[in-house]
Amino acid sequence: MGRDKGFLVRAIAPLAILILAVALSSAYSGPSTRRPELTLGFSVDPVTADPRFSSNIPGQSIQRHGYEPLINHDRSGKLIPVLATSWKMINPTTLEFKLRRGVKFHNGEDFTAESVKYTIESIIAPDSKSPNKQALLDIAKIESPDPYTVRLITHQPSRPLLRNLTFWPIGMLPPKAAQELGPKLSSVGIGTGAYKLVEFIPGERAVFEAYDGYWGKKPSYARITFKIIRENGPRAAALEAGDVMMINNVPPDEMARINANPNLRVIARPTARIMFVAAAMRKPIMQNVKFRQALNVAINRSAIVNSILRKTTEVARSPIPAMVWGSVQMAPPAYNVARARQLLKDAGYQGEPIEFLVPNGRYLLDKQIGEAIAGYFQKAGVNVKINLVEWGQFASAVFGKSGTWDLSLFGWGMVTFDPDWLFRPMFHSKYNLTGYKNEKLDSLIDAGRTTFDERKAMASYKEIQQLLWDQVPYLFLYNQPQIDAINKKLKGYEPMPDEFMYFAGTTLE
Amino acid sequence: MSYSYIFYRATQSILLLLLATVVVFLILRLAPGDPALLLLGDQTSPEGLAQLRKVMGLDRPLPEQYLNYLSRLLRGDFGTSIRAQRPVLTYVGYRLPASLQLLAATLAFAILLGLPIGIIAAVRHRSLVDYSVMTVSLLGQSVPAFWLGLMLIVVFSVHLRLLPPSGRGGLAHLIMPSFTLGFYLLGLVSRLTRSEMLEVLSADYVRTARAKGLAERIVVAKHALRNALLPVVTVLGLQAGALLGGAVVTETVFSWPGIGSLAVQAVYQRDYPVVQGIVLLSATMFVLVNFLVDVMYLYLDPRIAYR
Repeated sequence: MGRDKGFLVRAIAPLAILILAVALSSAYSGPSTRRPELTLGFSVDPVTADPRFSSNIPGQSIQRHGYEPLINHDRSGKLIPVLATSWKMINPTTLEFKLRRGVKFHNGEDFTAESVKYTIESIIAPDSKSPNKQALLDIAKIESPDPYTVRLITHQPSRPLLRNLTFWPIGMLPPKAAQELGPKLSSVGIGTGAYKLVEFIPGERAVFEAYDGYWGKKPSYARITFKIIRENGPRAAALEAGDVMMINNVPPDEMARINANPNLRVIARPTARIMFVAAAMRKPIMQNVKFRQALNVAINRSAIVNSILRKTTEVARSPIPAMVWGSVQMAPPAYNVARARQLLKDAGYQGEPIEFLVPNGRYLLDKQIGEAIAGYFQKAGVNVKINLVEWGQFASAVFGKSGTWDLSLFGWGMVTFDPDWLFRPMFHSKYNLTGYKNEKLDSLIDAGRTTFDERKAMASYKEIQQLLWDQVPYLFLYNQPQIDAINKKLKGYEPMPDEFMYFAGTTLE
Repeated sequence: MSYSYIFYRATQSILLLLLATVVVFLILRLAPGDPALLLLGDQTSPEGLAQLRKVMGLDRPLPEQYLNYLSRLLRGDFGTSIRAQRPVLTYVGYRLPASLQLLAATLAFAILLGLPIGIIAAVRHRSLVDYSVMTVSLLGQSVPAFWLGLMLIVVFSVHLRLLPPSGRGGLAHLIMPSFTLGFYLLGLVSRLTRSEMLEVLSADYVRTARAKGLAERIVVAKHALRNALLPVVTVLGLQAGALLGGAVVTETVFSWPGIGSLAVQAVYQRDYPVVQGIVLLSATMFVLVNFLVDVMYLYLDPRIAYR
């Protein structure tokens, strides 16, 4: 027995010493000036490392750390230069950019006009599957008179094109590497950003390391890791356990619990995504403006914002969110059941069934809000039938125009910070989803889109907003809130109104 | 004799897989939803949508789409993920090791703990040990995985800070997910082992074995267990196939990057090639495991002579 014990000690002792040595050496492995590492918990997977193919904002936010667009917008929607240093209209169909010099991609390739030409051409190519394509459809061709000048030539005058370039900021690619790698670019990722992608496992994590050849401010972190945690509960637990420094998509009913923790803080802000109930013109009663006005005043918007969304946002005062250029703030429709009943009577409403299509799980608390709105309609005397569907089915019915519905609840992100982004696809009779037709509206939208005089465009947009407020083709509700939570050690984090999350400017205490 | 049986089962398996491709192909396309539309998100323009549909080949008739899919499949091409723009095989391949790892840990946990527990409960029938073992296993079968998972996270990650709350990494990351998934299986295995053992232990041949004076340990381990194991092996085989792609809840709660949760996301995004790839993969696994279980039967019970 004693011999056995002795053997055990002899076997364990060297191992213990080894472990101790490793532990000590790792504790003293670096000088204290080393840059910190940042880990974040995201609800959505970027799916691909190729910026041409991302189709969700949290995923694009992750990519944005490695890629850079020509231009971007700041919190107030003002255009800011990134890889382009200046831009101007040479004529109504030619937009010229001067490019930043001395920028190198992570693989050492130079950033030049060729990079821009390759990136945009690969997006607008006829066989391209890029969801970013629709933002660039106005472009007919791209010229580069010299290595640091790019000209975008459009089919027709397009004032929104400049701002469209900030749509899910279209990241510039290195042409040589992109052509060599082909589809492998979806897992590698080579940009000009302050951080370079070093590991990307779909559904699991994306890891970035500081890129010291960055042209701008030197990166403050040695490493940024985005962990993908889809479920709300476990994501909050990861923040509480100190595993991650920030999480996105916090459910409103979790806010109080997280805020009760002295180390954590919830950040809730309205975004530039306007939420509304769209009205389809399929039935004669829906074409009656009095009927739509009745629906409009039947909704108690402040109750929705205060009780369901827990005051994380405000009732919409315009179809265009306040932070977007061209927004005109107006009085929200006053909740008035008696007036709704009177308007229903004036409209000659006979109790026709109204189908209300609501997505389940696409927008923050969409099901609960849809149910509340249906309740308000019923209270006013509307025979409404709510139809809750999963997002894929909703998208087919509404955007694919394959379903029959009278009302549908969804939202529109003003990601380009230009009112045209909402007006043309939603209200122009040539493009819209509801069959709404108003010739005056059409001509105002066209006028705003084709003029380069911002004052003239602004005048059109002011008139459009008033018209939408009075004619109620949509029932505007509130701006979608964005609710994140951070560990208080993370300083300087502010979500952008276009829902983008960027951490290069933050610091860790 | 058993070779012809194996050949017969192999042919059957291949036909089954072919049927699986048809079923999953049709179900996906008959369900409402459009992958092009979902790729564009809710910022869709009609021009963009029409162009994308054409590029993706969604405007062609269904039989043509199926034949295209099948002919590529036979050449070993599983297609490209609509979302990720990368080959399905590598995309799913990234996730498969995680699924297999979780499955292995879960099975090990359930078998190593469930079998002995079930045997002890059967041998000590109607004792305190029996009742407590059965209570625990009943609990295992009735506790929902999402609740158990969240409670484990709250206790061991948030409060005790002993284990990582989510993701895949070292062995520590594996403990809570495999416990959550294995707790259900543990209940199943131990209950099944117990009831089978009870039945076998009262059989004539066991009485004979005891009567001829064999030690109780040998009677239980050698005579009884081998026969009691047959249904347990069958159930484990079925469960292993089902768990590979079906551990969705556990994978989701712990952000475990397996193929079950990937399949669910792909369905929501109508990423047809990915769903088809995963279903085919799971079906292959399922068919393969069952095939192996049948072969194992030959060993466990030599009386089973297939014709």
